[in-house]
Amino acid sequence: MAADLPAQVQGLLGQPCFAQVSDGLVEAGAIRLFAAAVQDGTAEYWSEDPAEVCAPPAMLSAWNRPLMWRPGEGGSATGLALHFLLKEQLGLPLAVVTATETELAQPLRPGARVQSEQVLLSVSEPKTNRLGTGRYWTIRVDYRCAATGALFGHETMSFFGYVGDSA
Amino acid sequence: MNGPVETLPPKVRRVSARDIVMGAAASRDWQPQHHDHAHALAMNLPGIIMNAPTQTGWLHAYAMRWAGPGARIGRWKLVMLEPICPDTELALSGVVTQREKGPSGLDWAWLDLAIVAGAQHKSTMRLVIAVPAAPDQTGWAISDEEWQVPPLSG
Repeated sequence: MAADLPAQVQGLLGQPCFAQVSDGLVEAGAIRLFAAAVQDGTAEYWSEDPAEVCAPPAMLSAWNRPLMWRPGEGGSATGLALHFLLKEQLGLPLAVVTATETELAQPLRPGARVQSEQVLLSVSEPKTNRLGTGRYWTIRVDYRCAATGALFGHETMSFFGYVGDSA
Repeated sequence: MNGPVETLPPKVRRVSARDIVMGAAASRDWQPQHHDHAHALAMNLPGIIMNAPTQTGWLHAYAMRWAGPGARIGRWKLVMLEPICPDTELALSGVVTQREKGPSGLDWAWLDLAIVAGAQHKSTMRLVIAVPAAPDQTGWAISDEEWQVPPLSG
């Protein structure tokens, strides 16, 4: 863990934050669109019977990424607010995901609304690689059923935030 | 049983810009490095890059095709080593490293998967998946109490 972090970032470590609820419900059309994009023919993603449909596990994070625009709210909404706050507070405007680790506790089915909460687990010392100079950080997100609180799953994402050569 | 027990048939697929943009949009990921070539270049990337959910979806589809009806994914770790950009021929490969009896007529299988372009490993995934031990079994019917996914380490 880096010792030179701004106090604001230090204060975020280990603290659950940015609780949010999905702006829509898990639904079959979105599931089919993703399954088509990745060419996954798994029967449960394509069933005409709503009781059989469930979402691909790879969509776990999708439901908590907001729409880009909603009437009366303008645009530029992003998911994973903690990640974007870190970019700002660390002065690292660019970032890529380097790894994800995920567990699915139960299937997401149409009609569910998903709530999530984010926790900053770690921030590295400054590093330089071919993308630029920056830091690695990891964030864990828990996804739950908004109605019952039951855990759908959780994922830990690793990022590299950086300043590019031309920045 | 430990050690490689089965090798998945390889799958070759050429990635297009549409694959990358479709995957990003379908996972509601509007970050510009997944659809804006000039922005990606300014990030020192070689072009627009496939996002993590899309890579995960590609590898999950590959594993589910091998596992067959009733299979259900429980846990995975994706490591992205090199960016995946349009007009690249990718080979998906995998081995089953371990398989053991699970709950309700299912087996747990541990898979090591990879996305490779030529000699370059783009991404790797360690995956735990429930596979029906008999044709009439399904992982989707298992109760939440019985669904206790073992660790990636096996």
